[in-house]
Amino acid sequence: MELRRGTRNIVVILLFLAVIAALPGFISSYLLRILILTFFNATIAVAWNIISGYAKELSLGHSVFFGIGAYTSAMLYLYYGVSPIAGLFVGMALSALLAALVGLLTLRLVGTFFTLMTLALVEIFRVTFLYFKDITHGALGIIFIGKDDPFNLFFTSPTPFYYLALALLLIAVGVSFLIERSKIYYYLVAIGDDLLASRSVGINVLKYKTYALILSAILTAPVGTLYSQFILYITPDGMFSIPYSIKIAVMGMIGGAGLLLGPLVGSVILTILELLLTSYLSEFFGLNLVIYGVLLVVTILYMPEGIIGYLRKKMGGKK
Amino acid sequence: MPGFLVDLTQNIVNGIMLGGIYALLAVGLNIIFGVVKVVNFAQGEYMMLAMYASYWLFTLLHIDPLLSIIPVSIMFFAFGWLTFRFPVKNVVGKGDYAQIALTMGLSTFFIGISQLLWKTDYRGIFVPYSVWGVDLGGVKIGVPQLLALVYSVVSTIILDQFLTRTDTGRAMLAVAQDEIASRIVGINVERIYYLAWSIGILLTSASAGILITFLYVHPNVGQQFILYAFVVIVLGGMGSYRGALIGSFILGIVQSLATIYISADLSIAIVYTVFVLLLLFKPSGLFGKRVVRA
Repeated sequence: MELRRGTRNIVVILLFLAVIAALPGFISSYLLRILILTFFNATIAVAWNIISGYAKELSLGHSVFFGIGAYTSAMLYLYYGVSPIAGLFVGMALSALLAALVGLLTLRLVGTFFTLMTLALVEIFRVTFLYFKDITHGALGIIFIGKDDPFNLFFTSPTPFYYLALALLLIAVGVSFLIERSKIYYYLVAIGDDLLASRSVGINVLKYKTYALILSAILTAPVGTLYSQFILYITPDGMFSIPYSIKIAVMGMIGGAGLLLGPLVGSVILTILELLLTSYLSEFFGLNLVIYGVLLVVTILYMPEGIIGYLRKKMGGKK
Repeated sequence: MPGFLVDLTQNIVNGIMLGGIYALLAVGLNIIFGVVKVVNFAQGEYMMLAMYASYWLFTLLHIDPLLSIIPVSIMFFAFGWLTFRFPVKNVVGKGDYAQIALTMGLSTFFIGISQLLWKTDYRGIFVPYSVWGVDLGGVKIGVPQLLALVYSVVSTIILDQFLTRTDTGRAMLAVAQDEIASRIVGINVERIYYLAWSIGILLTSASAGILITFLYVHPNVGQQFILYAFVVIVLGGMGSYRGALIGSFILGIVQSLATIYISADLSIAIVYTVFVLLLLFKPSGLFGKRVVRA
């Protein structure tokens, strides 16, 4: 019985993936671009979930890793002609380094220090990148010019970005899937539930939380590279953005932090919502924030495990 | 006084004035954190809404902003009380995660509402004393900024007197120290939470009448200051209202000097560098309790 259910799940997932993979042949390029952006958001939300969902250390600054990914590949290409494909990996390494430093610095402290630090980080990077205009072009930003060139990640059609973004999302989901089946997951959840108890049974709290943050950063950075190649224009204000970081956290929380499906569902809901608001209710400027605020408050008060957690509980399924 | 000394003094004075503004937020934040144990991410938005209240009282009813301090204080004490009743009360004692998320949600909601109602226009009030200033041997001080400074010092002193001299105040300190023991000795902890939260909101909001005479109000004005206020409360020590006041002045002076001698554009980054150094060497701040380590 168990096996049959497992096989059925795999078949459903494969069918779903096949539909998603075939989509570019059937939909308009406008819709395709929206899906690409949804995949980007979803990937970051899934990555965010590793530190903020599993380990319950709320990050409100994930755009820092996104921005580092974007600027690393952009500047390496701009100044040294390094292919953004290589730049993507350098961006991942730099993000991991920053995550390690931030983790060791703030995750050893109990309280809101980590959250405050993530907010501060975004501002430090934004201001510093605005300041060093000679290198980063400051507020004017970097504009990418390139013809179709797969080795440098330039494509005039959105379709390649669709598959690249999908691949990144699948990697992030795959990593989360593996984490949920490893002992690190149980350590992280134990730490999130009861710090003192987990420390007293000998879990190295700082180590595992820092691992979670590093992993989260590594998965976030490549989205920055792809995003910049896709949009072809980056600015410090756009990349190192507190509102965007908060949006990622909102996606994770309303979907269900700590559950693999949560951030996926949350990012789809929020992206659709935003689309509807900008296309039909754009004269009500600020309405999106009102809705995010209400969603966040309602989620925390009435379904602290998010939509997915709530549905699972309702259907009586196991966690 | 030689010219460079006048300049230096002027910058330090500017820093103290700036610190006075940070203190308006930080003292309120810290009394709330100290007693209710919630870091209020919406503190800046209460200030923003109070500034709009002063603005509209002046624009529609021609009430002088300094006079509007009284109705605005009463309004925001009540508003604080109501918002504590719903939704804040529900996350008291529920851990950082739910608390940050909830107050973040409140903050987002307030910003959204004010954008819907008043767009993102910058609105200000011009009253004759907006431009008044005093000149002390070449060092210039703006009267409205001075008022904000006086307000933050005086309100901290009143708060201090309230907490140490009155029964309710002492009960509040007791709850801040040990909630369970306070319950055992018969303190109505629930009521103290309501009161501490509302006083924290009041302290921040009451200053709106002064701020609006020299700062424009717009939906993101609170966001502009709240991050500094967070640095201030870590610097002064989480939960220490005296620390918040002193921390504000230190941060204001650091920022003012950094603006002049390093770069105005980098001053925010320098302020945050102070924050990083604090986390590294003294996370408990100047007057805070020991921080628990993981």
